[in-house]
Amino acid sequence: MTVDLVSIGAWGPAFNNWPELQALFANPAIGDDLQWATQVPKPEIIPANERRRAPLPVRAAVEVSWQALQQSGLASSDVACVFGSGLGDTEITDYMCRVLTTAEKQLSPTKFHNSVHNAAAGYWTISTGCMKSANSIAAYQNTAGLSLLEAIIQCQQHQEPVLITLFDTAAHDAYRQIFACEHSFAAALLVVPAGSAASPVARLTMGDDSAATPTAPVFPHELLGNLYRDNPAAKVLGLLQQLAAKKTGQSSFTISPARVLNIDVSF
Amino acid sequence: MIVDYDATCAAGAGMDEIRAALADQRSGLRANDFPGCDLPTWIGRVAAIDEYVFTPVLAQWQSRNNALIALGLQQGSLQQSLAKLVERFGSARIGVVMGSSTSSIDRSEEAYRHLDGLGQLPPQFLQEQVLNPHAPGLFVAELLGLDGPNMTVNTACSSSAKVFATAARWLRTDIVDAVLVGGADTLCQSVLYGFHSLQLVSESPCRPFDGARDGINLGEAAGFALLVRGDDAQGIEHTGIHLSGYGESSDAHHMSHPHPEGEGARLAIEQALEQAGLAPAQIDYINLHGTASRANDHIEGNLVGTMFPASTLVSSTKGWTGHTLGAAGILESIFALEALSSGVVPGTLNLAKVDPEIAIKMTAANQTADLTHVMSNSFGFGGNNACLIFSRIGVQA
Repeated sequence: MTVDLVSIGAWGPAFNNWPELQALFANPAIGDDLQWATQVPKPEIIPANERRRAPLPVRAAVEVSWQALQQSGLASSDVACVFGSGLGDTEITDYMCRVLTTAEKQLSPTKFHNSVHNAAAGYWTISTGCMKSANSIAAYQNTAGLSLLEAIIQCQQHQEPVLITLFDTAAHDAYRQIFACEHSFAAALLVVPAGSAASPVARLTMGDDSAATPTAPVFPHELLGNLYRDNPAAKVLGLLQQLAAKKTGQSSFTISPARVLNIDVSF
Repeated sequence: MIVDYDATCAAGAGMDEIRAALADQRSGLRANDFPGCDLPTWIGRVAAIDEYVFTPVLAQWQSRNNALIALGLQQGSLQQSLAKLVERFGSARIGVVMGSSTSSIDRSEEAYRHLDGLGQLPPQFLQEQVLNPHAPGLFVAELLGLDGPNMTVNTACSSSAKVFATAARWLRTDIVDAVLVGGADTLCQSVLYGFHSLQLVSESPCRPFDGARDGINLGEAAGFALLVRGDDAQGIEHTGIHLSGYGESSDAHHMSHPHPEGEGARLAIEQALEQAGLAPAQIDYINLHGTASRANDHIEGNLVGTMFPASTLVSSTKGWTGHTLGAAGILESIFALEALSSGVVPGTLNLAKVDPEIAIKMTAANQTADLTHVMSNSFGFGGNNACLIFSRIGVQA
């Protein structure tokens, strides 16, 4: 099963877009200079009054999705979407659980509807007028692999472009005791049916899954390695590094204790 | 092909109890008695959850949602049917696709009630496998020893309808040989107070499509179904029913209010019909989303009334169960499957008179009919829509 990758969006510590992440892979010292600071994204596609109410995971997810969509030249109305987040929005969960320990238990209706895992998919489809299928997937540490699997299958079977957006933000407050995730990260990959794009970034082919445990990619900076290890969405960093280096070969994702998704990357 | 299915909800634990409750029009709703919640409303509570005890080996999996999942998986012949598939295909070739909106947030709520003086969680709540949104999928795999591809769809109230679409794609692609799909959501303070904050909760038993309806009742449920490719179904005992079409769409309108003309819902229904190769008149019964909210029922009722002829029977079964959120998709698909097998079409419980502003015909009483194709609608927050069509095999579209 083969699809073509046409565009990439990225946001995280020390990078605000895909060119900046590529630069970071090439020269990791950039990250030291920036002290891995993360600027809160302001995705211009969300109307200003809605954007103010949008939580960070939504902003991050919509920002990278918008980057990818703009580069692709496709219309949002033609692109189905698969959003994946391993941790969900721990800041809103923390807020709700705290309010529910008070006597009044008065939840903000906006925060409540923003608490759904598919808030990012909702804001995205509303902001861009997309009426196609929108999915929102969680598979904890395997979220990146399952989201890619789901999107590639959907793209091939329905013969339609699919946006894959992976996002996880730093664990909030008491959730820091549960999840080691210290840095926020989001990335989007837009795939189209094989052969339907004039100049794709790369061709992705789902390969044989007989391989055992995938080898973890090696990164030029310890913090990128930590990001990959601790942030479920950032499990896509190995593939992104390979794409940045234009290196043909296999990128692997764990999709269960017994199964691996191998993606053959070619240019 | 659907090999087996079962469900647990306020109307009953397992299909035998549910079948009897449907036939007798016995609602599972009761006046709110959920611990820690004094809102004046009615709920669809599964009492047996409170009796479920986690064995020491499963202690770290504790949550109300996981207890409901365990209870749901004990019903009927689900585990025997699964064992046969594991024997034939191997556990790594069996996918797990769960749907949920709350996952195990009930456990987070409890954890926060036990924060210590320094704002720290006590050790028994440091459950990373439970306090993440994929908890339902992880727990199902743990209980059943499944190690195929496994994910949880979290698209609010369409979650466990979309699991069927994913399962169909996974089977067609041959990345798995069977899929256990499911949905599980439990009552918790987040949803009770959350829907209350949106002024969507009724103080009375919910009355879908009635002119006097004034909101939803929340409920809890777990449902499961086992699917295999039609080609592989020979030699496997199955229901004789298959998923013949699915549609998925977005409203692109509002986070918590449906599209005023139901445009997103229409797209999902049209896609499902097209994929099944069916005309609207061929759909014999539709289990509507029918939440009993003013907006949903008005929009969905008028849309379905326009798209389908009066010969297509329709109803909402929320009067039996309440709105079970992320479990509603599979629970109501199972109600539709039951109607298909038994010929007993559930009415719309609690309906006195259809809202004169909704151009659709339905009855409170159950009906009997010979059904071939049935449909189930599910719509969720974020404007997320799914429509499923199930058909008896051996019948040409």
